[in-house]
Amino acid sequence: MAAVRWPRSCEVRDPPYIHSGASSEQTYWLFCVAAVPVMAAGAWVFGYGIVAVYVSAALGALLGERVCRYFVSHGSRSRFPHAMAMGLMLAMTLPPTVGLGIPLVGGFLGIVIGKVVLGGMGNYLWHPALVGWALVHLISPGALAPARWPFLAAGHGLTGSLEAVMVGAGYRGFGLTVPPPGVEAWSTPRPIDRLIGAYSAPVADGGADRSLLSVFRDHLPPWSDTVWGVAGGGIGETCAVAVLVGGLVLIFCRASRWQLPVAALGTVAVLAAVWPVRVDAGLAGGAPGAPGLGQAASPASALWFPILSVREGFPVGVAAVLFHLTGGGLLTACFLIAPDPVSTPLSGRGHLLFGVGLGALAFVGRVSGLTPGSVYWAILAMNTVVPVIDRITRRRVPGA
Amino acid sequence: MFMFTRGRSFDGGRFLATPAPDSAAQPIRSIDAPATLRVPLAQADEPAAEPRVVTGQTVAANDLLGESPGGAGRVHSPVSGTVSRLARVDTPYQQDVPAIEIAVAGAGASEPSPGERTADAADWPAVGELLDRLGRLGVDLAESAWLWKVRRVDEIIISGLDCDPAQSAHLRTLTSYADEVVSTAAALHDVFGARRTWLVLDSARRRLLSALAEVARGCPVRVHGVVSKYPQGMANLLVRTVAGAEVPCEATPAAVAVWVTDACAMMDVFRAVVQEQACTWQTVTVAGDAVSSPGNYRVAPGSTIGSLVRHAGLAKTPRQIIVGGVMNGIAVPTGDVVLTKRTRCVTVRCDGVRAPSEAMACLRCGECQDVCPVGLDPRGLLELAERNRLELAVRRHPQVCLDCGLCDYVCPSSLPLMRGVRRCREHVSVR
Repeated sequence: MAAVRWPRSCEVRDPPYIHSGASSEQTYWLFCVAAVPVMAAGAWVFGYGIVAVYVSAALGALLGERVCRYFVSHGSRSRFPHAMAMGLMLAMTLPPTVGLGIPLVGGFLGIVIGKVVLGGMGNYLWHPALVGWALVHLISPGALAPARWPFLAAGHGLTGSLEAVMVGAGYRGFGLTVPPPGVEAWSTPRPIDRLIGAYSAPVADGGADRSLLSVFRDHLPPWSDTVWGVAGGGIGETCAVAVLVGGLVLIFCRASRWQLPVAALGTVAVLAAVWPVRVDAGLAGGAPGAPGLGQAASPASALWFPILSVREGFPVGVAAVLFHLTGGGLLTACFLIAPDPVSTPLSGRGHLLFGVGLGALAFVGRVSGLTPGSVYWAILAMNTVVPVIDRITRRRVPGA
Repeated sequence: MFMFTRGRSFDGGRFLATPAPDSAAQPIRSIDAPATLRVPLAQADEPAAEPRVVTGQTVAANDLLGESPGGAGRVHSPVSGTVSRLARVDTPYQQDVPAIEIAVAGAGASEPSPGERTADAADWPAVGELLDRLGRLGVDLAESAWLWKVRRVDEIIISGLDCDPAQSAHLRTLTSYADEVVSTAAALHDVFGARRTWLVLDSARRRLLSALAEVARGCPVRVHGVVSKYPQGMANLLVRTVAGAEVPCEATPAAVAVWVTDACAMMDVFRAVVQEQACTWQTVTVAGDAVSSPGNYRVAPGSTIGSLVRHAGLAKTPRQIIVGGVMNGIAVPTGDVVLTKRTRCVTVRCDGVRAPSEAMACLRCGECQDVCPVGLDPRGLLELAERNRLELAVRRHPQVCLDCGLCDYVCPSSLPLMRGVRRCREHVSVR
């Protein structure tokens, strides 16, 4: 004990003297980590070449950050992890046919315009990755909304080529259709685009009508394909399992809140359960699961509460809800992209409101034909009202 | 009467990483006073009392050393000895405070042992006489002016919760002196005509809860467990959790006729009324990783932090000395700072002392708003302070801030949120 001496002076500063250890860089590194399973799943479904898309988008964003350092001093150690996370988020939304120029430009513009020009780190209103996405959309609309979304066929995962593609007229499902020799990839519309056909009037599409049953019977792969990710879509959008893993990592590490995805997915599910679909007369008349509904004999009629419909022993309504949740970019948007803390509300209750608004706008956007990307426009729209949400969800001060 | 409720708590707050400090495991140890005591005449940030002794005078333990002009704020001698001079000392709360320097008679004077009398509720005086005696013996009760005025309280909350995770003085007092605390509480319940009297402690301490409930059987004190989430020990939050009342903005629990006090104060009252001892020696928690045997010690006011820590043993070279706990204590530069009657905890730290990180841009993660126990938006208040829009802070009630430090603790961007809230609060209170 004698060896231990009192120092001449000890450190004096303001309390508290301990810290939880949380840091901003850590938050955005976690977003980068959460992108890894999605990237891996994407590499399996679309070929390892898509990793270059992620790298390119991240490089574009980092380049944007580096360039801005010459003009703006918004010193913060979190800015490079933030830029990288934004680049990866942008890449997740892109179709597999995109080149390397689009993600590079998108990442760069997202950071320079979305982050630095529109407020700077911590103050921007709109999600920078999605600002980049929207700008790319304006510059080159075709690149982000291709007619066909290819993905690798069974047996060609990771190493196959998206060039050796077969337009999937007879495609029944990933495990159900064996690709002919020389074909390494299928090309189909995204499941959600097929499904949305059921919400518009039944028009002839190659002789097939688009009422719910025929959509499921003739056009959509099994739902499990969308869970495992072997379906058309953006490179980070298809694999529900990978997205959930990444999203749960974020939630358990307190980088994001559970309220936002739960509220958004719940809202979409409820809307999908009640929103009317168009059915043709023949099917509507014999609806065993929906008594009193859809009895009109017109060529097509609106069927409310599609969740209740059972067609030929197949619960089409439930299937429609499930496809709404996993068939497009909704999961990725809710779990990995929207939770950027800067552009979301402050409180958990605010996140609930944000999620409900996001789900509603995304669903309405979908059924009114704003696709692909209705959910990303919905995020940008909800970002705009974040100050309002913050104001109405401010906590009450007890005793005041 | 035993009331056992789990899970009652308040919104916000945080479970901190040290739920059971090492210091709580050891019994309270008494230590000898150092050869020279310099008893400060101000206990916290109030004006100093005037000395009532002269140089060379011989004083016995419990003799009056000084009192404030109004007769309040009496300071007594913890030991017998000779007044060697009037000195000036630094306390944790004020610098350059007048103090009475006493050369302690004989080597190693310890706390005077109490008389033979034991607690007997029938002996307790009426309110006026009780308050008078407590004042005469230098027991500073929380809100004593209010108690003098009203002489009746609606509810009494006796806290066995230590405000800070490092501190265990109240918890240990409850463990060691359960009978004394409960009998004092029951007597005060009758004296003040309280409707309800609560003895509050951490609901996770089930054995202590049931032991206290056994002691309190048949007396009006209700033993009550609350979730020990930081900063539950603060008075306004105890009122909210236990009494279910909201203390108005800029008011103390007195505004809702609740008297919040603590276990150590109960022992001061017990010693004063039953054993007729002046309030001098205090139970102080010594904690922190630089101390080799953390625990609770009986300390004479006027000892230096250095002399107290010498008893607890230094394991490492201290890098930070905090009077109070790690969340909202006061860091002092040296061990020469003198302890007062108000000091409950000394934390001496070595590892884990880091310079505060450089502030980064706010992420708007909302953690500060989530943890704030009084529902403030520290981020918004800091923004107002930085933009000099302090006039807008009025509607956000920054004056309810409890200085708990949780916003700074959780902030991932290391923003000086407490400083921002304090600036707004000062602006609002000046207005």
